[in-house]
Amino acid sequence: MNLMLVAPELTIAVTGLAVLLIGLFLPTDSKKILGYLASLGVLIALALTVSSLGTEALLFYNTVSIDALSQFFKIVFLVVALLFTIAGIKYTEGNSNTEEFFTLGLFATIGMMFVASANDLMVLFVAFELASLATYALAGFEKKNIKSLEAAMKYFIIGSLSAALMLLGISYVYGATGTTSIPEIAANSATLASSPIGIVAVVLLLAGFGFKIALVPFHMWAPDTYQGSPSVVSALLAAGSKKMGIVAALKVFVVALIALKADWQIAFAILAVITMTYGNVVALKQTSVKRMLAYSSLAQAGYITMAFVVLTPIALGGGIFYALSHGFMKAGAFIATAAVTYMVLSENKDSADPDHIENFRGLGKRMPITALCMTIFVFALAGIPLTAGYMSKFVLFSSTIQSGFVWLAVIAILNSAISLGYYAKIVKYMYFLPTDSEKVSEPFPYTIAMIIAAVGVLALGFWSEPFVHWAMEAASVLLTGGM
Amino acid sequence: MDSFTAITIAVFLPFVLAGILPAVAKLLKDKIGWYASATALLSLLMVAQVAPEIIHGETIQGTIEWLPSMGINLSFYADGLSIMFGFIVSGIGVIIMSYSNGYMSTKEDLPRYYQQLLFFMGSMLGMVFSANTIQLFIFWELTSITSFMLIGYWRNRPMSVYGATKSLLITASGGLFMLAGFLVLHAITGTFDIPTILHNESIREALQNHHLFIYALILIFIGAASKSAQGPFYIWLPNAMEAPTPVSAFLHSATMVKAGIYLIARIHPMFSGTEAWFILVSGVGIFTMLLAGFLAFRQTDIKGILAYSTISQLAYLMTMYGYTTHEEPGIGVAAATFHLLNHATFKACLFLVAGIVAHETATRDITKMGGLRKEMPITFIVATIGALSMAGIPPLNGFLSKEMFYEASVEMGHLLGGPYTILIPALAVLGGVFTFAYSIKLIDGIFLGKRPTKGLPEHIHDPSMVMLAPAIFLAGLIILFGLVPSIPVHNFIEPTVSGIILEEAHLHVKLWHGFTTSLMMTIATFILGILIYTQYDRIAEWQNRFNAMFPWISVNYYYDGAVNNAKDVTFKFSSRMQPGPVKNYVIAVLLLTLAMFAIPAMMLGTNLIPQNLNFDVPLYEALIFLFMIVAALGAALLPRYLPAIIALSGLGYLVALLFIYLQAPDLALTQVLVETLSTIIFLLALVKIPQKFKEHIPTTTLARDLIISVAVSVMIFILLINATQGIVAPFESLSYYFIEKSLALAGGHNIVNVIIVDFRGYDTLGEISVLCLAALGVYNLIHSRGEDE
Repeated sequence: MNLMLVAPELTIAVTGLAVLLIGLFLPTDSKKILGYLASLGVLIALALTVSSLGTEALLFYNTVSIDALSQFFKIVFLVVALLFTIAGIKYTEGNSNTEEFFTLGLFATIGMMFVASANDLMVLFVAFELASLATYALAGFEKKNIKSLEAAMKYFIIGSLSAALMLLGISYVYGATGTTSIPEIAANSATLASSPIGIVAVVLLLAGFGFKIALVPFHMWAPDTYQGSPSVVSALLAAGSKKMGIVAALKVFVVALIALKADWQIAFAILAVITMTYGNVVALKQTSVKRMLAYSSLAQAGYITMAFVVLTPIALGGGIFYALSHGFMKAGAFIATAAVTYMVLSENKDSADPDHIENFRGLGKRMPITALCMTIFVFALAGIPLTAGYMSKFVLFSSTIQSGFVWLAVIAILNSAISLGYYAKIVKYMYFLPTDSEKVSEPFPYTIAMIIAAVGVLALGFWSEPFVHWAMEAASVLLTGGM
Repeated sequence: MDSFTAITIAVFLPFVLAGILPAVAKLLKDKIGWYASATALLSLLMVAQVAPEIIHGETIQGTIEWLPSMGINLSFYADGLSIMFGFIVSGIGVIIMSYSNGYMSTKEDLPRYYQQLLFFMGSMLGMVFSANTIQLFIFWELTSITSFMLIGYWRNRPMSVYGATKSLLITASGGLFMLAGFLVLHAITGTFDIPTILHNESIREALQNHHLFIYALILIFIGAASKSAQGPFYIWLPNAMEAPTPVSAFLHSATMVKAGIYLIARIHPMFSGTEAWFILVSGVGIFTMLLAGFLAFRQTDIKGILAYSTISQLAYLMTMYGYTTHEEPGIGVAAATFHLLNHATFKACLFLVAGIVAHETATRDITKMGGLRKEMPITFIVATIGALSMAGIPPLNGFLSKEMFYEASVEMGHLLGGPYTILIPALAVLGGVFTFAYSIKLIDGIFLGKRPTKGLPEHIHDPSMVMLAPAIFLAGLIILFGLVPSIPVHNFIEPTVSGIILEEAHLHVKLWHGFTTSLMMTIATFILGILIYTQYDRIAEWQNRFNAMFPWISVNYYYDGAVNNAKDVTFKFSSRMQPGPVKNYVIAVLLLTLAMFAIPAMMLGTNLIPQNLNFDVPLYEALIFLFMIVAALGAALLPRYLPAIIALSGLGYLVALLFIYLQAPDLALTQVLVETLSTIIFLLALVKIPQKFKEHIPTTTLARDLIISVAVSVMIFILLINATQGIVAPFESLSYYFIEKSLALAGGHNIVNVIIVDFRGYDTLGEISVLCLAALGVYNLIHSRGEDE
C-alpha cells in the first residue's frame, strides 16, 4: 500500500495536531502564526492532491478508493478549507482559542476528504460524523454569543437525529446485502431492489443525507445555523460540509443503490423542486445577508439535486462541477460578509445585526475590493454569464432538457429568475444607495481569501473546459459502479 | 486582415479599451469622451471593412475553441442582418459618444459613464455577431447588466434606482427564458450553432414538426418580448428614461431594445411559416403597437412620449416580422428591416433633440414649453425632420417604410381572407394614426404656439456644434434615405432580407409608385391623424381619469404589487414555516420520515412484522424489561429533576444487569462505570439550574407530541423487529467467524479480548491515540482556564 496516496489527509491531520500542540504553549498575542501554519498545511495538501490527479487505487482493504471522483471533491474541500483558514487568520485575531478553531476546521476537512474517497459505508459514516462533530463545535465557537450557541445547539440536535436515521438505513442495507462495501452492495442489491424493504432503507438514508445537503424539509437548521455561526464557519458549512452530503449521497444512491433508482429518483425530483422554490422565495425578504445566503444555499442545493433526477453522465458531471463552483461562490460570499461584519463590529462593538443589509449600503465606496468581490459572487450565484455559476447552471440545465425533463429545467430557470431579485438587491445596496460613512481599510487576510475565491469564480467561468472535463471524469466513476 | 479577425476586433476592442479607460482618463481628464468616440469609430471601421463581402452575398464564419466538450465555442457569424446591426450599433455609438461630450457635465463621473457605454457597445456587437445561441445569450445578458448600470447612473435619484432594478429584473429574467428556449432548441436540433440550423433544410423541417417546437418558440419569444418591451413587459422601458438622455437614445431606442427584434429576425427562418409564429409575434405586436401608441398621449415628459413611441414602433417591427404563411414565410420582412433602419435614424435624432431641449430649458415637461422655434431655429428644423419622418410624411425615409408596412398588411390580410382582409390593414392604419398624432404633438408642444410666460429660462438658444452636429447628421440621413432609397436598400436591406428569407432578394423601393392601396391608406392616416390631434388633450385627460379610477388596469400595478408584496408574503410564509424552537424542526424531520415510511409499510402490510417471533424470554428477563419501561417512564414524567435523574440512572443500571445476564460481564462493568460517572456529572450540573420544570405545556401540544412520539416509537419498533427477525440474511453472521477462529488463530478463549487485541489490534491502537488526544484536549482546557483567571 502506498501511503503517498493518503498523503493529503495525513498532512492535514499532522497540521491539525501540530496547531493544537503549538497553540498550547503560545501566548494569545502570537497565536496568529497558527493560522498561517494551517493555511500552509492546506496548501501542501492541495498541491499533493492536484499532483495525484489521474491516480486510481484502492487502499485499506478496499475501504478507501482513490479515483477521479474522490480527488475532485478533495480539491473542492481543500479549496474551501484554504479559504477558511486564510479568512480565519483575521477572524481569530486576539482570540485565546485560536488553535481549537483551526484544529476543528482541519479535522472537519479530513472527515470530508475521507467521505470523498470512502468505498465502504462504515468509512463513509465515520468520516461523515468526524466532519459533523467538528463543525458542531465550530458553529458554537463564539461561546459568549447567544446566537452562535443556538446555532450550534440546533445543528447538533438535528444532526444527531439524522445520523441515527442514516445509521439505521445503513444497517438495513447491510442486512439485506451482507456487505458494507459500496461496489459490492451495488452487485448484491437484488434483494433490496425486489422488496419494499429497499424503500425503507432509501427513506432512512434520504433523511440522513437530506439533513446535510439541507433539502426541504430537512433544512430547518440551516438558516438558523448559517446566520448564528461566525461567517467564516458558515462558509465552511455551506461550501464544504454541504458538498460532503452531496458526494456521500452520490456514492450511496448513484453507486450502491442504483438498482433502486426508480424509488429515489422521484423523491429527489420532488425534493429538488420544493427546495429550490422555497429557498428562493423565502430569500427574497431576508434582511440578514447571512440568512439570505443560507436560503440561497438551499436553492443551489436544489439545483444540484437535479443531477440525481437526470442521472446522465453530463448531468452528474454538471452537478459535480456545480459543487466546485458553489464552493468558491458561497465561501467567497460568506467571507465577504465576514469582512463587512468585522468592519461594523470594529466601528460599533455592540451592533446587534452586523450582517444586516443596511450595513452593505454604499459598500462600493467604503470597501471597494470587498464590494467588487461580493458582486462577482452574487452574480455568479445568480448564474450571470462568464462566471462559474453560469457555466454550472448551463451544463446542468442543458443536460436536464436533453434528457427530456423540460418541466424540471423550466422550474429551475424560473427559480433563477426569482433569485435575481435578492441578488440584485445586494448589488443595489452596495453600489446604488448613498452613504455618509467614510471609506475604511479592508482587513487584509479577508481580502486575500476573497480575491482567491473571485479569481476561482471567474476562472471557472471563462476557462471551464478542463474543469468540466474533470467533473465528467468524476461522474464516469459513479456510473461505472466504482469498481 | 481577414474578415473574421475584423469582427473579433470590432467586438473585443471596446472591452479592452474600456478596461484601460480609467487610466487614460487620468491623462485626458474632461476630454475622455473623445477617446470613447474614437473607440467606437474603430469598431465602426472594422464592421465597414467586412461589409463589401456581405453585400456581395457572402457570409463569414469563424471559431475559437472555448468549451468543446459541451459543443460551445467562441464563434462569430456575419450575414446581412448582423452587419446591418453592427453598423447601427457602432455608428450610433460614435454619434452618441460625441454628443455626450457636450451633454454630460464635467462634474459627473465621466470615466464610469464612458466605460459602461463602451462595455455595452461591445456586448451588443458581440450579440449580433454571435454564431451560437449560448454565446448570444451571454452577450445578451451582458447588455442587460450594462443597461442596468447605465439606467442607475444617477445613483442618488430613487427613481433611477427603481428604473434600473425594474429593467434588470424584467430583461434578465426574460433572458433566462430565452436560454431555456435555446436549450430546448438544442434538444431538438442537437446543435447550438445558428448557421448550421439556418443552412440545413432538413433540420429546420424536423424542428417545425417536433412536439417541443411550440415550447422553444414561446420561451425564446418571451426573451425577445421582454428585451424589446413588448406585451406586458413594456413597463420597464418608460422607467428606463431615468438614464441620461444619450443613454436613452443609444440603448433604449436605437440598439438594445432592438435586440429582441434582432432575435426574432435571426430565428425567423427556423420558426416562421407556422400559425403559432403569426399568432404570437404579430398578435403581441399589433396589441402592443395600439396600446403603446394610445398611451403616449398621456405623457407630459418628452422622453416619456418618446419611450411609448419606441415601444409602439418596435411593435410595428414585431408585427411585420410576424406576418407569415406557410407558402410565403417572409411577407413583412423587407418592410420590417427597412423600418428598423429608419427607426434607428429618426428616433435617435429625436432623442438627441429631447436632450438638447432639456439641456437648454432645464425641463422635459412638454406642458411648460412652446414657441421655441425662434430661439432654437436649427434644433427646430432637425426635430421637425425627425418627427415628420416618424409620422410618415414624404419624402422622408419613414414614409417609405410605413408604405411598405401597409402594403404587407394588405397582403397578409388578403392571404388570411375573411374578416382579416379588412381588419389587419385597418389596425395597421390605426397604429399609424396614433403615431402621426403624437409626432405632431412633439413639434407643436415644444416649438410652435406661444412661449409660456413663466417656467422657462430667459435666454434659450441652439446648443454648441458638439451636440448639434450629431443630430444634424442623423437628419441628413433621414432625408438621404428618403430621396435615394436605393443606397440603404442595396447596401443593407437586400443582404439582410436574403439572409432571413434565405433566397436572393431584389427590392424596388421608390418614392413615387402610383396610386396604390397603400397610398390611399397613408392619406387616410393623415386625415384621421389630424382629426385625432384636435382631440389630443381631451383623450389624454380621459386616460388620466380612467387610470385613476381603475388602477388595476395597469401592468405596473401588478409589478409593484409583486415586488413589494413579495416581501410581505415571504415574511409571513417564513415566519410560519420557520418557528424557531428546535422541537418543531425535529417534528418536521420525524413527520416526513414517518410519511415516507408509510409507503413501504402499506406495500408490505402485515408482512412487515414476521409471523413467528423467534424469541425465548425467561421470566426474570421479562421482569428486567418491565422495570426498564417503568424507569424510562419515570425519567420522562417525574416533575422534578432529581427523581428524574435517579430514574434515568436506574434505567442504565438495569441495562447493565441485562448485559450480565447475557454473559457479557466486561460490557456490564463499562456500562456501570459510565452510568455512575454520568449520574455524578448530572448531579453536579443540577446544582446550577432550577429544581423544577417551570414551563407549562398546553394539553393540545402535549397530545400532539405524544402522538408523534408513539408513532415514531412504533415505527422504530417495527423496523427493529423486521430487521432482526424478518429479513433472512443472505449470508452467515460475522460472529461465527470469531467463534471458530479465535482459539485457532489467536489462542484465546475470551473472544472479546481476542477481537480487541488481535483481530482489530490497529483499531485499538487508534483508540489509544484518540484517548491521548482527548487527554491533550483536557489539558488544554485546564490550561486555558488558568490563563483566564
